[in-house]
Amino acid sequence: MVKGVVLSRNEQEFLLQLLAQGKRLDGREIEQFRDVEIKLGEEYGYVDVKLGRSRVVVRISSEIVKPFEDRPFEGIFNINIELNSNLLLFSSSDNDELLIQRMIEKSIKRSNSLDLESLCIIAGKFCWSIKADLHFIEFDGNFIDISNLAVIVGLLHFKLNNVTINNNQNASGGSNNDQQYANLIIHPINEIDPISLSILHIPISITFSFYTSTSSGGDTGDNDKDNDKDQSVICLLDASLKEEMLRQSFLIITMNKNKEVCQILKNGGLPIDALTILNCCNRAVKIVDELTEKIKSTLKEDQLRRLENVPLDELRAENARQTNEL
Amino acid sequence: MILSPAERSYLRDSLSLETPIRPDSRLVGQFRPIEAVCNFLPNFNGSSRVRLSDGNECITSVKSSVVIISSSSRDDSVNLIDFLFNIPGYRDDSNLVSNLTLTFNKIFNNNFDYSSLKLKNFKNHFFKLSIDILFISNSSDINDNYVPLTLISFSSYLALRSTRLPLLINDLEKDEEDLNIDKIKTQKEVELPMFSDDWSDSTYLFPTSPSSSTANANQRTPPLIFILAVIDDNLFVDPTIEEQYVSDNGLIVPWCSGNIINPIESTKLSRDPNSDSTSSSTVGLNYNHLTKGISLVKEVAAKVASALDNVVNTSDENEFLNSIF
Amino acid sequence: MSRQEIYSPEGLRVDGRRWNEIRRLSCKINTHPISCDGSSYLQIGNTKVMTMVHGPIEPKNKSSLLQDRAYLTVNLNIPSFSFFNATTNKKLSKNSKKILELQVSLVNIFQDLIILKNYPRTQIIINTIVLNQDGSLISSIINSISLALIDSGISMYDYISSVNCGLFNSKFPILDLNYLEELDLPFLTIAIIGKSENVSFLLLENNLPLDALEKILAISISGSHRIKDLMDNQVKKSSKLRIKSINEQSIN
Repeated sequence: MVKGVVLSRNEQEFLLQLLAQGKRLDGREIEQFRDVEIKLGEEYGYVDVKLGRSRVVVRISSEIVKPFEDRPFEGIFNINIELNSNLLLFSSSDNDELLIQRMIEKSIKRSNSLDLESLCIIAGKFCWSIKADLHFIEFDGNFIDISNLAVIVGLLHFKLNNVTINNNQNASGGSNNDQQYANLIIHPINEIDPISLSILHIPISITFSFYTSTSSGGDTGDNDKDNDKDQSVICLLDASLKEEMLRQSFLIITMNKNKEVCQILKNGGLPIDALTILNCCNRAVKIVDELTEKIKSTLKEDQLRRLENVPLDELRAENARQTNEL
Repeated sequence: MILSPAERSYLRDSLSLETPIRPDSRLVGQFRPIEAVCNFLPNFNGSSRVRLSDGNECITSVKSSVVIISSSSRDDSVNLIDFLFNIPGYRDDSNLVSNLTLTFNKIFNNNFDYSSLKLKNFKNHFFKLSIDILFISNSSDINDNYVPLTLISFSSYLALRSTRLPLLINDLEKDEEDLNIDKIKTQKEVELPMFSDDWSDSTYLFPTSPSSSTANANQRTPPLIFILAVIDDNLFVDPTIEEQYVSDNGLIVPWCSGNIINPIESTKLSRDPNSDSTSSSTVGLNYNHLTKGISLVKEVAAKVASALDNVVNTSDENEFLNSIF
Repeated sequence: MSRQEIYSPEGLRVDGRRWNEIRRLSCKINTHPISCDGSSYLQIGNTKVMTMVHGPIEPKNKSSLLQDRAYLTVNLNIPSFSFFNATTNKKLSKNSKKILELQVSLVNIFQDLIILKNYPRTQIIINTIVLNQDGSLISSIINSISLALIDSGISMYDYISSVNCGLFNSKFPILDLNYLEELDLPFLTIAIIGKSENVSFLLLENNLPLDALEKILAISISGSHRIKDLMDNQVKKSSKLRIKSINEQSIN
C-alpha cells in the first residue's frame, strides 16, 4: 500500500545505480553516519536531537503513582510516540509508529538499561512513573536510531526530585495492615538537588539497510533469486528518506559500549547471509563507541555549564585546608 | 450464504412434508458424523476437539483453580463454571459471543451439582472450572451468521467428561477431631489445601462408569445442548446451514442425565441480513412444537451421551504426545 | 531440595536433551481439506500450532486490491488457554501490541517468500491458531505457515524454517528452548530460507555478548536446516499418499 510520497522511476533507478557504484545521494560514504547534534534543554529531560535533516524532540516527565500489583518493587516506564499527521505521509508503512515504540521499549526496558527497581519509593505503595514523550519535528529517514538516541540521552539528562519519607505510625499501634501511612515530601529542584536516574548501560541502535545490486526498480525479479553469483548485497548505514523507501530489507542492531548486543531485529524482507549480519554487528561496535563518547561529552558539557553560575565555593561546608607555605 | 428462491422453496417443501426429506437424506433424529479427540492439551485438566464433516471445528479446554467462597455470600452470584468464547472474526463484545457466553453459563451453572466441586473437608474451598472454547469456522467469510451450537455443546461435554482433578492429600477431618474450639478451627481453615504432584493420582470429575444407562440419579453428567430447527410442523435435530436458513424458528433444548432441563429457549436461526426481518418472526411456536421437540430430544439424547462417553473411555491418556490428526 | 538445572555439568537439560538436540517435531499437512485451500498442524515438543491458508481469493474490500500482486494478510489467534500458566483472566486481546507486531513481522517475512506477482488482484489470507505454548512460539508459527502455504499450492521460492537458540552462562549455546528455558536464558529466534544461510527473520530481545553471537548463529542455522529436512520428509510422504489415492481413483 502506497501512502503519500512516491519516488519516480527516474529517481529510483538513479539512486540504485549510484549505490551500485558505491556512492550516495548526499555524497556520504556507504558506511558513514550523518552528523549527530544533541541539544540539551534548560529543564532536565528536554532533549533535541538532529541526525542530518531528521529531528526529534524528547521530553521526560515523572510522577508518583502506585506500582503495578504484580510488581510492587518496580517503577513504571512508558514511551509515547507522536507522529504528526503530515509526517505520516512520509512513513513507508502503516505500522511505523508501532514498530518504533516496540523497538525503543525493548531496547530500553527489556535490556534493563533503566533500573526500574531504583524508581521504587515505598514498595507496593509509591513509585516513580517515568514517561518519555517523543515528537518528530522533521523526518528524513532513520526513525529508530534517532528516537532511541534521543530517549536514552533524555533519560541520562533527566533528574528526579528528591523525596523523603515521613513515617507515621497509627496511635493504637495495632498490627493491622493498612493503618500505617507514610507522608512523602517531594522537594522542589531549587531546594534540594535532584537525583539522576539509575542508567545501567547505554543502548544505541544502528540501522542497516540492504539493497541488491542487480535489481533495478521495486521488487526483486525471479532471476535475482536464481543467480547467486551476480547478486551482491549493498549494506547501507543510516538511510535517508529516499534510501529508506527503496530498501529491500533492514537490520536494527542495538548495542552498548560493553559489546553486549541488546537486541537485533530483521523483520523479513530480502534474506541476508548470516556472515553479512555478523559483519554488520562488528562494524556497529565502532559507531556505538563513538556515539557513546559523544553523548557522555555532551552531558558533561551541559553539567559544567549549569555549574557555572553556581557559587560552588560558598556552598562548600569543609574548612579551608591550611597549607604550609613557609 | 445466499439461496435462490427456487432452492429455498425446494428445501422448504421437502422439509415440510409429513415425512420430511432432508437434503442429505438423514433421519429427523440423526446427527452428522463427527470426529472427536480428547485430552490433547497437556497443560489442562481436560480438553477436547470436535470436528464436523463440513469442516467446522471446536476446541475446548477446561482449567481448574481453587477459590474460597465465604459461606455468607453463598448465593447465585457465585459461578463455579466460567465460559469464555473465542471466535476468530468476531469481537468479544459482539452479540454472538456474549449470547453464547450467557446461554452456556446459565445452563451449566444452574444444572451443576456444586458438591462435586467442593474440596473434601475444607469448608469454603471449591474448584472453579474455567472453560475456554475456540470455534473455527470453515469459511473465511464471517458474514455467515451460523454457529453450530450442537458442535460446541458436544465439545464442552467431552472436555468436561475428560477433566481430571488433582488428588487432595490434605485431610482436615482428622485434625478437627482433636480441636473442638471454634476459634482455633477458624485459624486452621486458613490452611491451604495441598494436592498430589503425581498426575496419575488424579480423579475424573465425572466418574466414568461402564454402564450406559443414565437412570442413576446420583451420577450426573454435564449438560448437552441440542438445537432443533422448526419448519412448519416438523422439527429437525442438528440442522445444517441450509436447513437453518429456511427454518421458521429454532429451539434450544438442554438435556442433562436423562432429563430435559431449563431454560428451553426459542431462537431465530435464519439470520439473513438481507431478508425481511419480519417474515419469519410472525410464525410463532405452538404447544405441539414444544412437546414434539422435547420428546425428540429425549429419544436421541441418551444415545448421543453414550456415544460421547465412549470417546472418553477409549481415549488414550497420552494422546498429547501424538499428533491430534 | 533439588534445583532443576537448565544445563547440568554433564551436558543434559531438564528434559534430558543435549545442547544441540531439538524437541520431537511432528507435523501434518492438509489437515483441513474442506475448509481451506491449505492447512497444516505442527507440534514441536508441547507447542502446538495450526494454520489455515485461504487463497488466492477475491479481496474482501477494495483497499486490499493491488493491481500488480496479491495482498497478503496474516491473522494470528493466540487464545488464552494456550498460555503456559493459563488462567482465563489473562486474555491476549486481538489488538494487543505483541500480536500486532508479530502479524506485521509475519507479513514482511512471507511477502518476500511468496511469488506475489503471480496472483495479481487477489488476496491471500493466513489464519494461525496457537493451541499450546511451550517455548519457540514465533518459530513454530513460521514453520506452520510455511507448511500450510506449501499445501495450498501457492508459488513460493523455498521453504522457510525457524528455530530459537539461547546462551547459557555466556558460554554454552543451547538449541530449541522450551518455555522455562526461554524465561531464564537470553535467546534469539531465526528463520532461514531453504538450505542456504540466508536469514529472513532474526529477533533477539535480551542481552547477548557480541562474541557469542557467531556461535549461536551457526548453531541455529544448522538447527533450522534440520527442521527443514523434517518438514520436507513429511511433505513428501503426504504427497506420495495423495498421488496414490488419485491413481487409485482414476483406476476405478
